[in-house]
Amino acid sequence: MKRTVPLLIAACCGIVLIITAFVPSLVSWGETATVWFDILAAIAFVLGGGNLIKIHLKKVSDRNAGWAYSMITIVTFLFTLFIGMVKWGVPPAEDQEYFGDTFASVSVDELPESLSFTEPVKLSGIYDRDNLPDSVKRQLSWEQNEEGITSLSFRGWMQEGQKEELLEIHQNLQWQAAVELLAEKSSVPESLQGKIAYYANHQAISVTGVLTEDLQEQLLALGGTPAWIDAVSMLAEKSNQQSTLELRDIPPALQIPEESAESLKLQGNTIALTGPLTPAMSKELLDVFPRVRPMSTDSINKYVAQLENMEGGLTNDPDGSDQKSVLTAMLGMSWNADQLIVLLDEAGKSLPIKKTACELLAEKQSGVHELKTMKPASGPDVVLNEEQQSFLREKVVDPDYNLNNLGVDLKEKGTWIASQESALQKFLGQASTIGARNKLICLSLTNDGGGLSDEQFAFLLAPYRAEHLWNQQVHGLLVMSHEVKYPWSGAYLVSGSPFWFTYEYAFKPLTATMFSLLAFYVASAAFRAFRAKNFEAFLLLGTAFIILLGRTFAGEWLSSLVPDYLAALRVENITSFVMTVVNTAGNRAIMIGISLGIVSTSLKILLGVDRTYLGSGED
Amino acid sequence: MKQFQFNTIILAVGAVLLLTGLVSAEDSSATKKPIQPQAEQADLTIQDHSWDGGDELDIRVKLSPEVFDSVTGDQASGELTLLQAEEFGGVYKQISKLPPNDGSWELDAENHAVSIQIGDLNRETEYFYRVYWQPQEGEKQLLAENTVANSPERQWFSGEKWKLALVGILICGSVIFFIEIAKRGWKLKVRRIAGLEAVDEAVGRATEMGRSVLFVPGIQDMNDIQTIAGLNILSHVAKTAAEYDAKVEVPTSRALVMTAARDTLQGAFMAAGRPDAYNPDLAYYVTDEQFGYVAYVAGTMVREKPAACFYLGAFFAESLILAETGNSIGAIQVAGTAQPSQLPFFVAACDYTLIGEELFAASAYLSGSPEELGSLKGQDVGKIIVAVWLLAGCAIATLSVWGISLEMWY
Repeated sequence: MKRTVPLLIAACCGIVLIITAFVPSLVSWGETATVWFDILAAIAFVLGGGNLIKIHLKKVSDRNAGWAYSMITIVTFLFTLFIGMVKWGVPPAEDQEYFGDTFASVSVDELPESLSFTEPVKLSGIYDRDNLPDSVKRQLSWEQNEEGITSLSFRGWMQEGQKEELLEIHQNLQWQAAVELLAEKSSVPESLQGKIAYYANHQAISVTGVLTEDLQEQLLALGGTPAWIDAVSMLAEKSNQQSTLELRDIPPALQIPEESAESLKLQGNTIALTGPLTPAMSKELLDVFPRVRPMSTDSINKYVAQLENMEGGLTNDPDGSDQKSVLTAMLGMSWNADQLIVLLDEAGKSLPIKKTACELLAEKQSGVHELKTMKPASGPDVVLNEEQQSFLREKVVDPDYNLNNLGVDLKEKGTWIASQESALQKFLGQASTIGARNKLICLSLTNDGGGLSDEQFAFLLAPYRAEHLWNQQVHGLLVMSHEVKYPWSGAYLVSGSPFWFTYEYAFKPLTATMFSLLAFYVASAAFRAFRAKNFEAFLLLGTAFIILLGRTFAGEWLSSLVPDYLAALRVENITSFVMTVVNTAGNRAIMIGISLGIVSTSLKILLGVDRTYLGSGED
Repeated sequence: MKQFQFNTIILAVGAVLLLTGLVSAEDSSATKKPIQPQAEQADLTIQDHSWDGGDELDIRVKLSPEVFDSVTGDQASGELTLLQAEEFGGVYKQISKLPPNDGSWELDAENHAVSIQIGDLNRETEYFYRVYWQPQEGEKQLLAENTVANSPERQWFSGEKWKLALVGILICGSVIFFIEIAKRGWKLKVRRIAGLEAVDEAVGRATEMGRSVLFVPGIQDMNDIQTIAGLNILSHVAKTAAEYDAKVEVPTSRALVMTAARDTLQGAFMAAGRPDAYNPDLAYYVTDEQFGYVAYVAGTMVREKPAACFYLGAFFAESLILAETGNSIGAIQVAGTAQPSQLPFFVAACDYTLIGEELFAASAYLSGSPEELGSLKGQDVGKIIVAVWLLAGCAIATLSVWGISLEMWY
């Protein structure tokens, strides 16, 4: 019995895997069987670890030959296991942390009844709950009768991503229209939008930034269970925690944005923050350094002269190091007014609008045969007029003009729409800062074979150093004010962690060392194998010699004297022939034998003819 | 009798599974509407792709000569687009167009028809198609559409694998046939395999020298047939070692192999009548890491200097490191693997090498049982089939050089 049961399991799994290869309806059975194997193998890891400790402890205890190696093995095993298991020094995964948000646990069932949204629908056809996206499975439910689904219900607020996923699963207008109506009904109220969200997969309600008293009242007004009330209280408590940080070298241009004024206060060199620092606040705090803008030729020359007049000067050798030309070129490489005009004209184009599923369904029901998914643009295209263009060309190179006012000024001079303003802000926000540009300039000037004096370095890198210091401080504030939600969510091999360090600087070099031994062993094995003791060995030696010669330049060079009509006898061609014909034929013969051997052995195991791998053939 | 019962159980399991597949395929088709060729417009035919897993439909569009020429000629002057929706009259999305023909469209110039196979479909979903033609000048025209829903169906057998199934049945059938006739007493002769003849010699040498026998079952897990073949040979090696009272050591790189090797050793020691000599610590786990394993085994070899080393299983880059280390300590070495790229290293550094299929034949050879020897004869039938195909292929390829092709015969 001890042997028969494993044999039966092996045989059943084997038969399942064979049959599932040919029967499509049973494919999932094969997948399940392989998953079982993976589970078994995972359990075996524990077994293997235990055995490793036991064997090596025994060796150490008995002082057997090589016991010191066993000791090292035990220590490194335990050390690696510890730092890997506890994820020592591994930061939480950024995509799981929701920076700027505070979470409080509340399950879908504990949500107030007022957050149950129901949309009466009439959906015929087959809808299977198993096909629903994982993100909505906990929240979406429906009522069904013989004719189909009669109502869709959603618990909690539906997020945009959930709506998109629901729309995707059935390309059917009735379904999509119902989802659109349900999404509209279950969207976050306007007063809470962008501040409050519910994450069903995390079983948590979240607030972005601070939960003000007003927001708290609105949430409590939704009614609800004790769990909901507790969650709201917890949100209020956690999102109102104070963080303070002493700052150094505060950028002169720093101004606390109006919308953050209540939660972010700067007193002298101390910044006090209520609640977490949101990504939007962080972006605004960081965006306080001047950005690169087009420079006039005079400005460029002035800048170059300033650097040239410093200690060390700039090289200007057209045949060698030419720092002056490099600097001039780099200063002139920023964006220009024409690029911005093209972008703003493009942003001003009126684009066709995608119809909603409800609109498409209404068209379909009204008898439209060929539905068009887009509707024409609502207005005419807006392009910059002559006055706007010339103003823009003039002002972008004027160093005294504040580019942040560009949108307002352009609006005064002609038609200006929101999409253009948004494109303008995006464009200006993407331009690199002076510090980042200067860092590149430094790299280019020093890569060019020339050097820079300390004074020149200090002049060029001062903005970058200020930016770097400020970025670090803002990042510190972000981390300080953030409440870690999933401390162990980071990848254990994340760069910089002790586990990664051990892997990178201990494990990899050691395995590479072992692998490199192969080179020496190949030489010694080849020496023995190529001794021409008999005809076969002589044949082997001859073939090896031809291949070695054919794979080097010497072979080609030596046989270049062979005339073209005897090209087949050139060493490289003989090498190619041996490898593609003789070697391939031999390899295939072995492969065919191996394949048949595998079939036969597998069959013997499945049929229980060969049981020796389980011990003796008898029970 | 016991063997007969076991085989019966296994065959019954297989039959039940096949039946389940058949029934589930029938079930799936029973719930679907019957597939109907396009009724409204005769020029669009949609059919289920036969003998598949239920995720493909075959679409054929019969065009007028003018349209056909405009989309298939060298100088294409129009464009044919195929659109798909999940409801009639809904939002149709383009899934293919012609030209360009990326090989997915099949052209039938004789009937002025084009056909395409649409994949990645869902059996639970109904599909509707529209075919549009956009001439070089003028408006896009709807050529055809279907109003009756079409859904792919799943068949019980995957038709594209019929060749594999046929070859599998032939080879497996011949193996089973020869096992059965071997059981009935038919004498079978197997050629001598030097590497296996040397097992007793190697273990005997280790006993005489008072040293251990090292058995390395490769670095793959139990789901690799080479590891199982290696453990089959371990059974014989361990039995011989138990009889000679020699020590066998089996370092493994997988925990499952360790447990299997322990069972093998225990069985072998019991078969040799020496259950008292069995020690589970003879088979132990080292590490899953390839070169960590090699470092340990090579270190053990240098320190303990086993008199005989067996490398039987799946090996990769570590083959030569192990074999050369074994060579340097003067051990008698027997190796075998089904990794063709590692065979030259073993041949160069070991005393005996089991090449490819010999590794799988070893168990039968060593046991000498008629059933197992029968399986080797079954393999030979496979070889004959392969040889015939190879010769036929070579002949056809050679004839084609002179312009003689099979097409000329039909």
